[in-house]
Amino acid sequence: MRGTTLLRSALPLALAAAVLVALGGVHEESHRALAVATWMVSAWLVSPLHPALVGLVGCFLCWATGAVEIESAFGGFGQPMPWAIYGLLILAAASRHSGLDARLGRLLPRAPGAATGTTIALALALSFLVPSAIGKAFVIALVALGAGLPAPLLAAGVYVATALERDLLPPPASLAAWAILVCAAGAIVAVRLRRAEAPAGDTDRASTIVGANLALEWKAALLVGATILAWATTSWHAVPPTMVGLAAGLVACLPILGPLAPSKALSPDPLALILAGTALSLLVVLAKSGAVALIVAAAAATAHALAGVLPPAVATYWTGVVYHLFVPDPRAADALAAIAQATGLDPAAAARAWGSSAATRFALYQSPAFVFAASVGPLRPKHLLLLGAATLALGTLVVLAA
Amino acid sequence: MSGVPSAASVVGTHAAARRHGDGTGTRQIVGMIAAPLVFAVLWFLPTHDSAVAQHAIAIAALMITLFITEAVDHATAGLIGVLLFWATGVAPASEAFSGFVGETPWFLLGAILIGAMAGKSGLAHRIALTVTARTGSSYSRLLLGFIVVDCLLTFLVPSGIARVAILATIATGVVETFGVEKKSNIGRGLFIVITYSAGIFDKMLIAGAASILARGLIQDATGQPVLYSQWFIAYLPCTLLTILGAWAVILWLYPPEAHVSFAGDRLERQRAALGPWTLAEKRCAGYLLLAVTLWMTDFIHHLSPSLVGIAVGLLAVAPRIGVIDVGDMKKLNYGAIWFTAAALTMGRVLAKSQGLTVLTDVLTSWMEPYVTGPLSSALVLYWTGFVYHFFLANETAMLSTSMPVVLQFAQRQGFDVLATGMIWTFASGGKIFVYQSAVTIVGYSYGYFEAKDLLKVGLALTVIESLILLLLVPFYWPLIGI
Repeated sequence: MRGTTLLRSALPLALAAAVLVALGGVHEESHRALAVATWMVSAWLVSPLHPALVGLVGCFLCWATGAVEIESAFGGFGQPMPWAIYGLLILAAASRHSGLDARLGRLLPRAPGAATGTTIALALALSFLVPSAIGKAFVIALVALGAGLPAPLLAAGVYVATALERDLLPPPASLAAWAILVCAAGAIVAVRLRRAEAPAGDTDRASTIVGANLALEWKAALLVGATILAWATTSWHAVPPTMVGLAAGLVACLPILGPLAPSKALSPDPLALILAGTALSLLVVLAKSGAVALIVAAAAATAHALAGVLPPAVATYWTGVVYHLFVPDPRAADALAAIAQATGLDPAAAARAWGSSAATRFALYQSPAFVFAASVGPLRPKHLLLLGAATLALGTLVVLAA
Repeated sequence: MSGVPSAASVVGTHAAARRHGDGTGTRQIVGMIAAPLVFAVLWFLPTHDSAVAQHAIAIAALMITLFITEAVDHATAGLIGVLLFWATGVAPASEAFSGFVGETPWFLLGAILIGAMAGKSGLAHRIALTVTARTGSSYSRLLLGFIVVDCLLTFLVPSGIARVAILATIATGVVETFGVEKKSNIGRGLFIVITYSAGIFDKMLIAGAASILARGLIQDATGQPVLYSQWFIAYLPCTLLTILGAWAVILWLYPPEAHVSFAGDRLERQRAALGPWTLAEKRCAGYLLLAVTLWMTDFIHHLSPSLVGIAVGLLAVAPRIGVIDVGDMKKLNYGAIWFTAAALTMGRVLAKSQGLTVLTDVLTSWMEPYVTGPLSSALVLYWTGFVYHFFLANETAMLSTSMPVVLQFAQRQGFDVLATGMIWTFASGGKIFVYQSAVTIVGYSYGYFEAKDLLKVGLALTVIESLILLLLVPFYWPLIGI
């Protein structure tokens, strides 16, 4: 066990060193940034360190090594997403405090098979109702926690919901295939894993908390309802979902108006915010230092080499999966163009494979929705890894078939 | 440290002394009514030619009202302001959240991690016990020992509340050893000096939340780095004189009761009971030595104090080589960090929107005739800051709301911005009422002194501090290039 831990700690360092050697040293800012990014990504995937700590150390190293200024090294905290997570963590705490989550959880069927089906269906439905990934994760986590669903089912629900982002997969046919795929992957992993695990959450909680304080529950219900409504109508009012999330959380802790009593200690998990902020900071660092160009070039070269032995669509998909480990941003048009050119795939097919690769995720840092869900509920990294592996396997088949 | 009230519980009890049925305090209700009212009035009142500046002022006023009334905790109030800057279009998201990406909040995180390391390892307690045991063979010497330890602990433990909690455990035992009542002169003297010193020394060093925030605001205003060593050297004479001044004041106001003897061996026994240094203490001492050495020599290597602070803070939490773990990290007071960042945002948005010029005119117009030279400027600034602190009980809130205005005033008058900022920061240390700081509330909650004791000692020491400034600012600071 000790040997495994040592290996998991040493591997990210070895990979970072290898990147530096391959790049020829630390002369350029982009080289340093890429080495630190390699350490961060591999540590997030395999290291026993807490992911928030990995993020903090990585951002600090980006600044301390001179790869970027501190404003870029911690640039993710200057974006609204970590603060939306902060707000939603407060709102989730308020919902749990009031018992609203338990009331919502009662709506889910108790039988294991039906619960799995309903959760996946809810995730699917939310994908068309709520455009924000973090919004979908909030609803699923709330219901799953209230119902005391097992951890794998929470993971599967959140995974399915976040894999079906409207702007990720442009063609409708591809979206339908992808929806079937991720639902299947989610269901397979959830069913297989839940057999091995006891139900998470307190199943007796609902009987004691529901209705215990109706005024508080009403306040929470109104706030949560208004928040979901605001998310669902984003295309009308154009208020960013992150703004809605932060505002909802801040209203939740207002005296008189909010469902959290003023005397109640309020401490949303700070490490969730830090992980989300540092993961976003990585994108800023890669862009500011010019390291993203190195990654695109490496990805194009890899895709070109893979396209010689594999179908071009699969080469694009696999390359995209690895690319998105470093750059968890689906809107990477430059990279897509470079890889499409390298594989010789037509733009529409390349876009389908690329969109699928962006939604094939393995670790918490790859989506703020995962970070949120892991903070409020028992979403475990190993479940995400399995979901990612299942999606990768099925995704390869779908890409091949397309 | 059983029996030590947590800061949160003490502050909570204090802030909401009168609570209504749903747990909401009167101040909170007042804040919930006043803040939106102030916001609405200033939103429409033509305070500035530019609508953006006018709206920025309205949002800043709402934040300040929430800070003053403590209707919500300071971090929430700060984030409400940040959200409003963004949502109302006064600032884009990148500017509204800009306070979170600079050095200051992360330096504060580093300082908080270092403090957690010093507390958990037991090093802070050992140092406190060792120094007091070595110095204390009489009330007078013990008193001096406590003041010196309070000063030394500022390097190690950035939180004033934590310093009070550490020293109070020792002081409780000392009072028992003397065999006197809680509210005896000895009890009052020891506890009030511990409490008051904890709120002064961290203004003379870039160590606590207030001075770290002040440094960030000064850097923002001047664009120049503010060195740790520079700040330390600038206030070194003041630190030494304050130690002597506080000692003299307490001995004068609270002479020991007659026929009281001190069994000094009790402290020595407690110290001996600590045993040999643990690995955690040794590590902590090593990291602190590294940090302090690098901070003190920053004029040579020019490493940013923030970089050193964050690096040592991260070492403290590193697995195997650190002292604290992720569980400890989760329990830290992140609210102070988010609040500091939000306060920085407020200053930046006000400055960029030109709203700051209006506030500067309003708040500093009366000062102009009196600030004619270094001597009068130091006095006027110090006492203005002191009075301003009555209305804004929290030190960091006081600095964040007023510092940008004062610095702009200094720039406009052609004063040295760094010196002005340092005086204003120092003024936040002067306090005479218990409500003015969470540190005084915690010290007061032990029940060894009364509000009138703080009033007496606070007034005496505030006068002494202002006299010290009169010597420092015109005569000493020019010698060191300030």
